[in-house]
Amino acid sequence: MKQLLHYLGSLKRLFHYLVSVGVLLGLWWLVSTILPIWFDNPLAKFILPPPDQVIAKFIDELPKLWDHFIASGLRIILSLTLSMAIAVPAGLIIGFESTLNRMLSPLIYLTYPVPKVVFMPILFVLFGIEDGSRIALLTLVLSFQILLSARDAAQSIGSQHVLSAKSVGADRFQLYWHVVFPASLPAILTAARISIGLAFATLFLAESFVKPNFGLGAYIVERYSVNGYLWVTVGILAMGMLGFLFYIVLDWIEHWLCRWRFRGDNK
Amino acid sequence: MTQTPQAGYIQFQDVSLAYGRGSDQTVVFEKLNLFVDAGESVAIVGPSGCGKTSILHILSGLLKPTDGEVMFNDEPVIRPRRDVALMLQDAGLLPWKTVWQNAILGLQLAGLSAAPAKERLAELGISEFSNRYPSELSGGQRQRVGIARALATDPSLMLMDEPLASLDTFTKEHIQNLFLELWLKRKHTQILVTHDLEEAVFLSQRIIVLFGKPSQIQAEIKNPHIVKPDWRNSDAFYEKVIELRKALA
Repeated sequence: MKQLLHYLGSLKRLFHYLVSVGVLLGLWWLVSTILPIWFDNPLAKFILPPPDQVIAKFIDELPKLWDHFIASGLRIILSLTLSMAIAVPAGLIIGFESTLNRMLSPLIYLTYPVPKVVFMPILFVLFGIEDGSRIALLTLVLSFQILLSARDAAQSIGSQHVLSAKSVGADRFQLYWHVVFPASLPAILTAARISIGLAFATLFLAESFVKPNFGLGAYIVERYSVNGYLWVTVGILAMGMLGFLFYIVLDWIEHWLCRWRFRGDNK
Repeated sequence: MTQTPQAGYIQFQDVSLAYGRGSDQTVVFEKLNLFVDAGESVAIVGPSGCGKTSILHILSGLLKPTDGEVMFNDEPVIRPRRDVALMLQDAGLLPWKTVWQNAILGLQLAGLSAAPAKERLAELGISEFSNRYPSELSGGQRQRVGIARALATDPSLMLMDEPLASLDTFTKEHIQNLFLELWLKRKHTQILVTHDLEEAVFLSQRIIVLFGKPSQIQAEIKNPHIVKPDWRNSDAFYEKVIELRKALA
């Protein structure tokens, strides 16, 4: 808690965030003003409403939006947790055990480029058309990113660290716990943070295939189908805020779990 | 130190080490015979690739020789042992562990009490840095943590693989003095691998010169004068360095 307060309490950081939000709102306002002038399309003045209108609508919609926000957030949290639980140990073992790496890397390279969304029909059959298949798809997408990062990180661990732990009698399990996992953790958390963008793109697709009762993807697609651009932008804003929240939380987790990286010579 | 360690002798009997197979095979050394007495301090010097570090890795149980037998305290060395400590270059500290976590690692892995590590950190004057990470310490302080970690398990054999190679001259001499004081006090068996001839002469009763491909013991220089840190300024010290330099030429 002390760490969290210290981190959030950093005025300099807060100032940077405020400047970014200000710049974003300014650009948004500029584009929403220019669009109807540049494009001779009757819809041009509706497709991107100005920020003041969207923010007012956002506040107005908040009670309704909240359930969608929570539903999408929970889907991401569950998929991220599942993919971490599966892909981190698998990636670390594949990366650290050279024989296993040689055997399994071709399989990873063959399957990695396949867009995982194409498995949606299969996942519908296996896990049903409700949340099971959506979470399975998200887990599949995130797992590949995290597995590759964990594998690469484990592969590049300095031999001096392994030797250091072995010399004081570390067995295989202890080696993973005291060296392989902590050494790879920064790369794993970076991969998780980068994958959040991909996770939201997939979430939008997963929530628009077969629309659930709640979810920001469903909220956006539903309004989009009736040209409700103001509501669509409110949904996009909510998705952006949810994504930002995940970035902040993952960033904080990295600062907390990998605090050694932000001290002394490592800064 | 509070406890007198159970000292031990080392014996290499016809030990060979080779990497690779067939035509790609590199023989590092062949039928190497070496005896180090209990409580003796020995340095191994020689060009890069002559197998100095491999000898330490074999002794610490991290590397199996291709042939021959290595004995320590009447037992063949086949795996890492708690009474053998290996000190690596830059102290071998894990950057994600604090000073305290690094110091207790050996004890923690063996399921032992952390109390000896606390004593060693206090003796070496680094208790106040317990919550710091290695990146927040100077080179000399890191080295002290490495020493505390090595001594926490009260080893009877200290293996040192160029432990001071990355330090500046002032800090290096300071830590060398500390090594000598610790050895004079504890009288553990000590093997030092170094490229620094003055360091070898300062810290060792016997200096073994490895040379050739495969490596062989080219010379052994007796150095019985090491008794206190200020002997570094004596004529005997410089004469011994010159003798060693001639043996390597």
